[in-house]
Amino acid sequence: MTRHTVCKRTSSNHIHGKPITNARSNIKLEDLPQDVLCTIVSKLPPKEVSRASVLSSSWRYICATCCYKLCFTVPAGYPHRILERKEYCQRIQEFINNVNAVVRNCHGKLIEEFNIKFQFDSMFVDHLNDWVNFAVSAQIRKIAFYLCPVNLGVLDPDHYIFPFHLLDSESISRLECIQLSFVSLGPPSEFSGFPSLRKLDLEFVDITRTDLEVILSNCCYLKWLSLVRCYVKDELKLDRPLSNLRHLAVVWCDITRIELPILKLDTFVYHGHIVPIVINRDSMLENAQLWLFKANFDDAVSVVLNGIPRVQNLTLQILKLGIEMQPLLNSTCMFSHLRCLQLLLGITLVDINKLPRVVSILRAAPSIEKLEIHFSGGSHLCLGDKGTVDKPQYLEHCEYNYLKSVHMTGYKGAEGQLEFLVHVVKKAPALEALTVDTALVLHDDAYVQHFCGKNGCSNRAALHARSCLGAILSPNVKFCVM
Amino acid sequence: MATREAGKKMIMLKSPDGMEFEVEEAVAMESQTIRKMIEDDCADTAILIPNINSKILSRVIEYCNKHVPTTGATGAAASDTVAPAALAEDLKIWDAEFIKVNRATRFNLIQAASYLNIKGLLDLTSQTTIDTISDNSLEEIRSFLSTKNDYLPEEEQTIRRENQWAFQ
Repeated sequence: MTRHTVCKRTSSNHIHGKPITNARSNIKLEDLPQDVLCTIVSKLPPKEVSRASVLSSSWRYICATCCYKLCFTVPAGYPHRILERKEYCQRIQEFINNVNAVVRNCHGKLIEEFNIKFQFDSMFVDHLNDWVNFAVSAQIRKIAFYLCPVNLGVLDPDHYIFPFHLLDSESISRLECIQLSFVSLGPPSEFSGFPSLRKLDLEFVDITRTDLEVILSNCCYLKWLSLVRCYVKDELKLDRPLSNLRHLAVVWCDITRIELPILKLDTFVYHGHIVPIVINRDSMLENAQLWLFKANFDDAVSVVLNGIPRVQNLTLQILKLGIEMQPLLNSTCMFSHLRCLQLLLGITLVDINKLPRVVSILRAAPSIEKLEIHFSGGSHLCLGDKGTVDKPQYLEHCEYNYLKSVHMTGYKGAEGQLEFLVHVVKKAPALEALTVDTALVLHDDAYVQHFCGKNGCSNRAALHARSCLGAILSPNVKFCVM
Repeated sequence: MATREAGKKMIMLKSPDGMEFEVEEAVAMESQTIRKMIEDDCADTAILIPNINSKILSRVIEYCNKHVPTTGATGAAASDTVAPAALAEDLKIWDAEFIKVNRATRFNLIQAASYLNIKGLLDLTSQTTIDTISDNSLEEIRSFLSTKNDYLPEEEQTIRRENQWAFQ
């Protein structure tokens, strides 16, 4: 899309003010306004800020007055396995000393953000608690602890216990962003939530259902909630609406049911087993991404349809897909706003000829414009060129009036795949582009390389698709076989 | 396409040296400062951008044009979901070209991005400075940023000692 900017000169008596500078070549960074300099300086790592204060007296002044963002990271993949224990301890000690030095330098200043990332060992608890004390006194608004344990392999490694007892009520009400990894989170009984919290990001955090509910119960400004591998092993349920929530991610948390009163979401991400999802049915949802380990296609579709019927862009990935010969979804419920659908299917040879049944989801999406369907390999779909294709009766009555673009990858010339494409093409009068790709985009095509030799199958499949689909396509459709 | 373009609301931006720039409202609203003016209904006629000359302002508009999200229209939304990665990559390359300017222009862009509150542009323009400070010795930084060392030798020693840990 091109945008036009019209520019015209007005009479010179309209000139007000004067330009910042006439591009003087000797402009100095220090000439920029104080707040701009602070923005820049606050993006520097603390070590560089300290160093920069030696540049000149004006720099020293800037560095001393700026609001800090403190981020400390021990380089990822710290080679504790290679290093001798002694050397490892020495390095960690250096890291701790550095943090302490900065903390001392920042005494009495306001800090915006405090991030710590290093391998946790229970002997560092006191240091961490000291830093939390410092953070509280510096009135931080964002805190992040990434404390991956030293021995990840250990079944139940030590976790740092988030020190609620060190937070006073002011700091609790000031916190806007909390990001924790490998931390134990258990609020005290009188705790009543973080009233200013905008973002809560928990990864590998020990937390129970009740504690999670307590923490979320009073977060009326929460915009971002992400739970990654926090094994709650229970329902996630709230009674009070999260009216400002825009981003929700629940990734491998062993949650058995999601029930959240949400008004409007931009993004919803769920990875895990198939569970009931109950989000306010009328809430609009822009992008949803569901990654299910193992599911029957129609079951998965009904979960999505019942949970988030007003989604606009949907990505549905099922690693172990089952397509059962069961009566189609008879629900009157529709995906009223679905425009773009991306399906990523781990389908087996047994089920490939039932592929036309997958149109059940298209039937429920009257306004669909764009369909992508990707297959993952390992199932030698190229052998699926025999047998009868399961073509349900209702296919005749489907119409996809708004469908403009169809893209399939992992096309191996299986009858089921071809039938699916033929059906969709015939029923999509507004189709503008059809792309059929024999390469797998999801996984690499080792099997085909190995057993079918030089992609012979792929070439055959491509030729076949070109002739079959080419014959029925309208000449206006941009058709591409790869 | 033409009708949709025509249907869009346009905003007039004026630089102090007398140039007027007509831009789409969505593009102008990449600037939080202008967005606020529009939302507060202070943008009926032209908006005067008091301290940014036309040369810099036109570059700022160029940036906003490129970065305005295309999600409003359905067609564009579709192409967004195709390959957001590719799109981001394209923007990155474009940004890298965009920022190939002399130091004075860059500092002016920083100031403009800050005044107009355009986060992406501020990040982009200040990154070069941040890299300069992070990757070079003090002497090199001074020469790149044309900063004069105004410390007395003993003063500098004291300050160095205070910040000893940063030099290890």
